[in-house]
Amino acid sequence: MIIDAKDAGLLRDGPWFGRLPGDLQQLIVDRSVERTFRKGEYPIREGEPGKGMGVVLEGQVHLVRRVAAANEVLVDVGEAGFWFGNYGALTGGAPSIGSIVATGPVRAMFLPLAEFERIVGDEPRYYRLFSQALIDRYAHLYRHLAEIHGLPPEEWLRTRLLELAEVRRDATAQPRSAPVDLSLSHTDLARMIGVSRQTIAGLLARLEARGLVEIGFRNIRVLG
Amino acid sequence: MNGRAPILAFLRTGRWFAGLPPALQELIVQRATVERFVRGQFLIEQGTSPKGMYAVLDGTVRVTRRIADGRDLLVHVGSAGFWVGDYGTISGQTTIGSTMAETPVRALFLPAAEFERIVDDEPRHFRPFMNLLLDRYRSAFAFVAELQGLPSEARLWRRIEGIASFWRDGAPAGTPIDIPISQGELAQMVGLSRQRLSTLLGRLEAQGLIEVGFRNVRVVA
Repeated sequence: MIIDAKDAGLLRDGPWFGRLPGDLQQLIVDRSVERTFRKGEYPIREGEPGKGMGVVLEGQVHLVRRVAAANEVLVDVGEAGFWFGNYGALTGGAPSIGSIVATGPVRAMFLPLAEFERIVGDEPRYYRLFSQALIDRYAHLYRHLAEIHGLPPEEWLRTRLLELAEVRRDATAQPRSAPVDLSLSHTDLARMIGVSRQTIAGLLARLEARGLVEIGFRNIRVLG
Repeated sequence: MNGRAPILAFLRTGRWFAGLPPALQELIVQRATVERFVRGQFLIEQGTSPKGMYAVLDGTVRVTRRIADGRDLLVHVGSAGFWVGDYGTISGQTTIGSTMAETPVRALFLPAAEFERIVDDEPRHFRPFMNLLLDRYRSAFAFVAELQGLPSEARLWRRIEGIASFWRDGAPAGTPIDIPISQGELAQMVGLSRQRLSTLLGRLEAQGLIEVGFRNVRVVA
């Protein structure tokens, strides 16, 4: 696809894409297509074979996973610069392990699975470079596995907010300590941390009192 | 299991290794060494540069992660056939957890430099290695969601069943699996008090899914 200077800048600022060799960056862009989604649409649906990988150029998505018939856990929130579908692409089309849902209008760049396979078929060394983004996320997941119940809820919430802020800073090339606005509702956070909305309100107030966050309407500013 | 042929035959009973191209299976065993560890010795220490990856041949290992307050929380208990050290070796990054010998352990060790030599000589070999990490990624992703989204009894069962599925890897379903794990460790893993855990273990036992012993949970379902 053809991308404008703004999208190109967004991609280059990304911690994974920005470090790829220039010729691979160009290949990914050339072989990708633009996709748009309306609020509530699923760029990727849990359980369906992976169709490729993509990156949000505008808008916001939720990464969710179904854990019981009526219970979907919010695993992550992604905005411009967020890559998704890496697992499906790297496995060559295994069933997706989570869903990506558009929370509003979303514009994305999408590399179809066949094009991904063509790139790594032509140059097998590129597969390792594609793997890097997922390897980084694995380190986070592994940490979550221990901390989700090992830390008190207030610290677990703080850990998750700091991580989300770090991802936003990396995606937008901001310095380490810059305040970050996360557009998240109390409901989103409750689904993310695994507690009730009432509990979230109390935990956020404590973090605010500690000077770590500022709470607005559907917005959390992370200061630390 | 001292020569390379019996080790190769044993490793081929595991799902990941069995799925590798035969040439790569042989390469791994040729380039690896057999290492021995005494009880309490670290195979991998969190926060160090990666040395390589191990396949447990005999014995039991405990995988832990040190959290912010300095406690080491149990993430997994592995037995013969369990591969560990994949993250550090494949990523080249500082290790994200520790692995300690719970009993005397014999393990096959593929040094990181040999891994690099293998994938440098044949870049197509990287992808089969990555399949191991992708499989772990899938499990960790599911566990993290279940740990926060499921009611306590369901998440306790999923966590026990998850460990058992690693032990059962390759063995026929329905074989009882003994996991050497204390109730204190299980309680930490799923975020329950000891009392609550004990009640829930009793319920799973009553359903015929597990049998609880001293520092041991037998998964019978």
